[in-house]
Amino acid sequence: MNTSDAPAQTNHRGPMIDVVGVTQHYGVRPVLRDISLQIDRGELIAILGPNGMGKTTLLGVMAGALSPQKGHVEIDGLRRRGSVEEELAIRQRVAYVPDHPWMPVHSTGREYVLAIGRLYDVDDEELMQHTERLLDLFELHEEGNWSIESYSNGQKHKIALCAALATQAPILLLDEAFSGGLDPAGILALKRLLQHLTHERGGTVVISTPIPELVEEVADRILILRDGQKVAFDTLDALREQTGCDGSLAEVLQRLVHPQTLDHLERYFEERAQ
Amino acid sequence: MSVTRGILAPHRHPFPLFVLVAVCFLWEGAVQMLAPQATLDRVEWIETFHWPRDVLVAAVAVLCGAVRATALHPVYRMDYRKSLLLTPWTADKPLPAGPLIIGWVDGIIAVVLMVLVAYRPNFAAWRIPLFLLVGYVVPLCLPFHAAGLRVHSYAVLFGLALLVRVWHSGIAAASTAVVIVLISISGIRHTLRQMRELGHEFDDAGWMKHFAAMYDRDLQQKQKKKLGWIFELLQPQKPTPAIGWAHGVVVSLLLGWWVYAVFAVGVQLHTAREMGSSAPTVQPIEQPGSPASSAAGVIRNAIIWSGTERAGQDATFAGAWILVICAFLCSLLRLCTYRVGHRSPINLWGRVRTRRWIVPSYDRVFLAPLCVVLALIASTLATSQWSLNPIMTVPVTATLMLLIALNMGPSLADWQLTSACRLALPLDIKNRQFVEA
Repeated sequence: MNTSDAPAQTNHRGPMIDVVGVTQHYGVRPVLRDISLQIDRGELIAILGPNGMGKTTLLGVMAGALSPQKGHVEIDGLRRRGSVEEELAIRQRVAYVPDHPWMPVHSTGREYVLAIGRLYDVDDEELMQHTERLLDLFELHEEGNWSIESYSNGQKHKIALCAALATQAPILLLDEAFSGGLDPAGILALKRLLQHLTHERGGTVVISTPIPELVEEVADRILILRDGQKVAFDTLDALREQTGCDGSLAEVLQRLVHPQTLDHLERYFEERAQ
Repeated sequence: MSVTRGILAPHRHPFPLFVLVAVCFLWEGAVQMLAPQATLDRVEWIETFHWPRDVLVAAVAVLCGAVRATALHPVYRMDYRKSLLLTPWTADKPLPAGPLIIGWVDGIIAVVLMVLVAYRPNFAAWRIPLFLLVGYVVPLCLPFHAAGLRVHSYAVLFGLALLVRVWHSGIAAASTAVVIVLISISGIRHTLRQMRELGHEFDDAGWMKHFAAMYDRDLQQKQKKKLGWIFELLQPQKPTPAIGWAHGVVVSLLLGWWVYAVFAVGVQLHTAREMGSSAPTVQPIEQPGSPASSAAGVIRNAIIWSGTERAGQDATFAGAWILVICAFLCSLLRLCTYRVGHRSPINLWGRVRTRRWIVPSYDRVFLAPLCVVLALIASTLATSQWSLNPIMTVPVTATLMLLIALNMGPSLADWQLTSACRLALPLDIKNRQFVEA
């Protein structure tokens, strides 16, 4: 195993991410309501749910970009924003890619990835080798020398993912990981890479997406949110059992989030047939 | 040396000076030609239309001094410095691009500028060299600071305020300027001596980078490379305050000293105008007895007798305005430094509706600005209640307010890393240098 792929391990034996009774609201309407969950080392978690249900907010709370009004988050046994030392230690362990990252226009993609890696104190030689491999993986080897300004949306998204991966943080939080114009090759590469990171390197990955098909085959457990509340958090098989549906994750999701939609569809087709 | 090509120094490129001389002569001709036709009194006419030219000459003197200090300074010119460090040059050898210490060429420039304003009755031409020296020493403070010569940089800045305070007195102002220049020359020598060891310090110093970028196009591009959203705000590095605790104290004292100097001179000029006298340009009005005969005497009197008898209602009013502006700037400085990219976790409407009026962890950031305002109120009340001299209370309050803004807790790292804030896209990221994925 190349050391550049290895997430840092710690002595903490509890869950890698522990979300405890989190309630979050910007104004009056709660976006998250009393969410509690635990994510273990080596797990790949997908947060699913319709738009505006709190997926991005929950990832933001885990990443430390948002402070919950109630509850707290612990990362690897350290409390988020508990103290300066704890927060810095957590930041060293977590890499977060928001749904719309902003990148410096004057940098090249390669420079940007290297700069982010250095921010996390990754050894220079390892970082350079790892960066080259990441750029190869996402088919950006040539484009890595271009200014980010000239990139397409998909290329910008790939570079943001490369930067997060270059940090070698043991926890990756990726908002809308498969969106942002990522091409099929990029989606495939990312899926394989995330599986490799979690199952073989012991990393922890949390991704959010509104599209269940994209995470069906990679997610170890699936968190389903509706109106800021945790509807379900389990493996796909357990969710199928819970809903009594043997179909795809999309159908399971429909049953959990919008149970009436399938009934409406059946009724619609019956009426059309008559 | 190829890297010195294009260096702009007044004695190497005298053309702008020739242009200035020509402009002054043309101006003078126009004023003299039009003066007899004016309905105003001839002296008043000439006085009125000469001041823009005098200001121009003074500004050029400051500019000449500033360019003189920066154009040939290896600390300001990264390419020059780096190439110099590759040679066997040492601080005891002359600099290849030319000396940093002002000399006879600068004297000639000062004389030329003095001649342009020499015959004006109410504008003392001897001030022109002082303007040039001010322009020369101010930019030198930055290399001093970057080289760790804090005593030199603060001494120069304190000295400049003293120069303002005793500006009315030729002997005191000239003596002060000489002392400042001597300190600067000592600082230049120390800086050059340390340059080989501190090369990277100069490269890393934010201020130096900014000024070096004025001469270096590549550096301008490099400086624009930042990390963007969200890595810049979530980076695993401790946010460092722009200024340390001890420097906060000295900078606060410096502000108070400058406020004192400018305010005292302002009160002095205002009082003189009310008395219908041109005294401030000739002798200090505060001196109850005869003018002091030595520079030290003028300085001592200027400080001891600062408006004790003459600071009246107007001074109190002006002092209040100075403090309001200081309070506003101090609070703004503090809040902008702390809150950039770090917003309240809940908006105002949310606070009202949920009756969470205060979010203690976050609202700690408002404590220091609140104390600044309280200091302002307390000072204003004390000044009016006990009829204190505003020339003394205003600088003390300004010092106190900046001290609070710079040094009061929580520290930047403590607040940004532990408060219940919400990270938000900073405006500078949204504006120009970044692109959204």
